[in-house]
Amino acid sequence: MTPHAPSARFWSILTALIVTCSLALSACGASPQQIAPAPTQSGNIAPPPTSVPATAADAAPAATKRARLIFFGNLEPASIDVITMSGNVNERQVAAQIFETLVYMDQSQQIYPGLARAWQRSEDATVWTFTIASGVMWHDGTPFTAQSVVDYFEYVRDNPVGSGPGALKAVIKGARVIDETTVELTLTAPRPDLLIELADPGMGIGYANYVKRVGADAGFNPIGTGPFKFKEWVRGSQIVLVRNPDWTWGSPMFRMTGPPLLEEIVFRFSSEAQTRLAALEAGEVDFVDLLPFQDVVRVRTDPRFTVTGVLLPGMPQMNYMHTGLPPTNELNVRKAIIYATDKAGIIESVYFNMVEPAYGPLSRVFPEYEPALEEMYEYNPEKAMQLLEEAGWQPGPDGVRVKDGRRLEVVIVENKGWNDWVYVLQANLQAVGFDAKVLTTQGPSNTEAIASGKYHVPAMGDVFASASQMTRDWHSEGYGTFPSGHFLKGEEGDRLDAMLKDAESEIDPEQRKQKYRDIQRFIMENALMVPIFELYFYVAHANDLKGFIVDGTGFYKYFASAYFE
Amino acid sequence: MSAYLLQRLLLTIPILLGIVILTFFMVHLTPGDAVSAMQGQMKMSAQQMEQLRQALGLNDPLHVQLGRYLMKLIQGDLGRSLFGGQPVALLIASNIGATIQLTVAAMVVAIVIGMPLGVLAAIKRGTLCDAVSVIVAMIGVSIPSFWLGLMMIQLFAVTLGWLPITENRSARGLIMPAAALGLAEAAIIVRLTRATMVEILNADYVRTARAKGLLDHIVLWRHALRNGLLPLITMIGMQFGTLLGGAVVIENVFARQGLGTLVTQAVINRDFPVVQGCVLVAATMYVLVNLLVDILYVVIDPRIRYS
Repeated sequence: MTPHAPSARFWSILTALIVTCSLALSACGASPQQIAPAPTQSGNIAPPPTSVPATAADAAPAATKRARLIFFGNLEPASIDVITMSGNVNERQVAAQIFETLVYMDQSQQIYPGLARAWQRSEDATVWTFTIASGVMWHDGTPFTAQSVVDYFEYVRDNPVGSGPGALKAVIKGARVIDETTVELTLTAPRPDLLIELADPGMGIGYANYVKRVGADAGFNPIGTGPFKFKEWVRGSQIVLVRNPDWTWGSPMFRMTGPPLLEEIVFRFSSEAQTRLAALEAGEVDFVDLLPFQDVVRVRTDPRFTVTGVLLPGMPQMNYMHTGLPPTNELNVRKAIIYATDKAGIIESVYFNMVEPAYGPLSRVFPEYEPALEEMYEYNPEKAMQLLEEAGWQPGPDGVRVKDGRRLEVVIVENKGWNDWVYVLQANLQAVGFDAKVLTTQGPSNTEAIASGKYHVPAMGDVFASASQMTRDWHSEGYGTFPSGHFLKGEEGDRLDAMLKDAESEIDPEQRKQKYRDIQRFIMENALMVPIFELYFYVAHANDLKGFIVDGTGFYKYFASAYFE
Repeated sequence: MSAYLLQRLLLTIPILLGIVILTFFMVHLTPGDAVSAMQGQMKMSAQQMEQLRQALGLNDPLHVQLGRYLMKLIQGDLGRSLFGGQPVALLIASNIGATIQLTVAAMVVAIVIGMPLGVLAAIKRGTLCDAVSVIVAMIGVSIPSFWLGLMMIQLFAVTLGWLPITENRSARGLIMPAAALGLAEAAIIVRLTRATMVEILNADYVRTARAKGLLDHIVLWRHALRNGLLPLITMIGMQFGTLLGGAVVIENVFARQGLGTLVTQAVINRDFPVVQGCVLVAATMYVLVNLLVDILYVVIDPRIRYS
């Protein structure tokens, strides 16, 4: 890509300075925009096909105008082998091009065959049989076999490191080769949504024997079966992948039968969002992740780029409420917090109307979503005050409510960079008589602060592709960003645990839907959270980049079928 | 001189040991550990987290962890990253070149801009030229380098298209980061050079040199500036540490390879071996630069002798 034509005109320099200095101001003045339609979930996993051939009509074009794609992400990976990676999202983004999963899921939540061409499950969803694609080769030329899959599952089961979902690893009982192309995976508990979990790029089938041989070094020289091979990693600078010319076994999701059209993918990283955006605008890169909300409107108007907003499925951005700590152990106080929260104000002032309000613990993209929650609470500070007064919290001399000599104090926990709404929430709560404080944390200190169980209203959100993964955010055993058992004490916690376990193993789709709707109602009736907004993920890319596929979580991109028009 | 150097080199050992121990406790006193950082995406249960902590040795008492680290350090082993498991020495080796390149380039920018401006301001003191250089220096000191970096990106990369943002392995890619980092230092050098030169230009020996009929430029460069270099070199040596710190920010802004990017991520992730290794290397560089400054004193001013 070529940069803009140089110009020495004084006014262009002056204009550039003025434009730059007023970036934030211009964003503040942005008019509300219609958000791109959110993807919807089909509600049903496609029935396991025996084979899905790519059709000529769907096939990608025979050539690409440019052969090199430059992707600019936010954080540099620590490792890019699926088995040894640490969990950073860009690790999966890179690994998704090098490794292949047994099945794939696209943005429409459709499941496609991957390395597994067909599958069957037992009635109770504890035994799964996969037919493995034939003719597949690791990048080092070694044949990929049914035994490779068994080796992978056994390694994952026995090793805590790796980015695959912890809950899934914990239920793997064993795997065995049935015949040359068939593998049987046995689980210790029913897992009706196993295919969705296996479609996670973090569950790409890693080369266990290679990892055993070279250890952690596999993370810096990974060998997979995917459409791109690892070429080089210049630490702090870039990761380069090159086309795998032998890749002819791609998933039908890619609608192509041959190797990728792109010759090379270069991944660069900067945690500075404005740098990422500037690199796109300067024509240095083709794709940027995590576009800042305040820049979405401006970049959308630039004819050189396409901006896409994807509603991320999972648990919307929210605040948990600690039911074991006073004063949030009182139902009225928790309800008052919800009524006092001005979601529309947050969405307008902090997120420039680039997101939509949330009403419960599950994204509206799921078929299990409970629409009745939308009517349950509205923004009503008067009602919040009334509830507090009914609970005996009376205004004190400094405006903070008191009861039995105690002040109405709550601490909101913020994970820096992710929960900017907490300051509006703080003001909302102060307006109805709370002494609301914000504790700012980041990364591990956030996890620690929340897991300490000392704070009332920690901010949170989660991205997942199946309602059954609510367990990881709400069950007392955890498996989430932190064990929610720290928050839900007594009857609410026990009841919710039982409901989650029951729904998780439900096979019947209708029963399952009902059970998850009951869970959502239970959570909101007991005011266990403050729903804030549905999380949108904005990406921008060069207009001529076509054919890439977004995964089921909305987070990861597959570039096997990408090309420049 | 050589005895002095040996003594100084030996003194660096307890200094570096102190830095290692201090860094160790500072990193471990901050809430959270590497496993907490991994938890964000890996979605482990409490049991799995404990299993991982055990495997990484994070459950051992602090003094055991410190002892283990020091024992390895004595053998020249900086350990492995808790994220990905790459050897810390390799991580540092693959990043340090870029950081030194940026720091030295920034220092060159600072000296090339700062010294002539400072001398000019001193010669023309009380004039508009002096006032402008003082104002420029004030602005330079006041502007945060990351903001300056972002402004330069907008102007020189996005609007004018003259310089690259992400192609950080080329010489052109070094221009903006070095300028963003070096301009604040240039401002400091302008102020110090001006103050030093004003004082020296009023000194008796300068007046004597002029009275002997020496040309102005000979008086200035041979007599005044050479004597003015001592405090400047001291300050430049001390600023090396500041530039290393500034590189942390600038490397992030320009998506550059380097210790800054490495250590930032390691601090966020509580990747103790990487943080420790980076701090150790940066401290060693700082100590060595200061030693070099002391040696330069002798070269510049033959009256100075170390015993």
